[in-house]
Amino acid sequence: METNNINIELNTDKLAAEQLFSKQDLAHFNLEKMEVPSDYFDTFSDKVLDRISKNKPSVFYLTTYGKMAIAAVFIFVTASAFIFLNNYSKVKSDLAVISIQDISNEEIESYVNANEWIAEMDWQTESVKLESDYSSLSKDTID
Amino acid sequence: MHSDQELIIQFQQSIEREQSFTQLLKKHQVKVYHQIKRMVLDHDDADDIAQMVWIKIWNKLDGFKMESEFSTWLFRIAYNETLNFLAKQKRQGTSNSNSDLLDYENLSSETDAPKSSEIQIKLDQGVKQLPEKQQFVFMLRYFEELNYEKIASITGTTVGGAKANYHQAVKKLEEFLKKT
Repeated sequence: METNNINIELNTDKLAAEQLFSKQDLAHFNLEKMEVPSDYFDTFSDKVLDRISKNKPSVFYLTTYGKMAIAAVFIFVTASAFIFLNNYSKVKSDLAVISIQDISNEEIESYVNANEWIAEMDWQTESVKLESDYSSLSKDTID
Repeated sequence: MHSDQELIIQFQQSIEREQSFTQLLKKHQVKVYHQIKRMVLDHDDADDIAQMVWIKIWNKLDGFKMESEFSTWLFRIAYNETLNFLAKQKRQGTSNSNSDLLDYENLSSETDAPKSSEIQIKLDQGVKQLPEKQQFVFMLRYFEELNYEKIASITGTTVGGAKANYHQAVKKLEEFLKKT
């Protein structure tokens, strides 16, 4: 039924054009446009494939093994990062838990001996600073 | 003979890619070429556009989801490529239409082909003065006998729009004949 309607519609449309130009004229018009050099269609596909192969972008195809290797590297990197970050925070929290009581006297003494001269310099700098602060004070302020 | 769908699946699954593409091309190349040639008239231009169309098909066939018929998709690409070519030709002012009409008249008188009557020349001129979209619709409807749904998909309009284009084309041809 639908096909019939389409055919009727097509015939009506064709008739509209054929009322202006004869069927022969229209056919002649089409025939003239259809002219092609001999063997054109036999060689056309070769021409197209040739142009395609010349313009072919270098596509990077991955084999199944390649895909698996990339996935393995990704998992390894993610796991390494996870383990490293986990251990680092553990070390940090271990350090935070240590108190002064846990450190032996020998360790404290050796630390003090090694850093005594730094403490001496800090103390001298501090006392010079205090002296200059006092000298800048006026008598009125002291009173 | 494989169906379009089978050939496309083969191509998409990379099974004898070139072979399935060639089969697809051989099935449709004549219609595509003729539709382009009717629009641009010159063989070399039509050949170049047809090659571009098939290169595009090769590049895009992997993404074709078969939601529409392959031939509709193919004609749509041909339609776009032809309109792009004609627009470029207009911008450069190198339209072949007039010289080709003269060639056509000379050729007909020289060869064994039926002599081009006055009405033939008028038909050529009349079709050529139609807007490209109407020309395309007229050719698809009259010569390729496509239904309006297909024509609408190809030209990116509604079914009503495609019908209107065909009837406007015929009306304009009628007016052109009256004037000349």
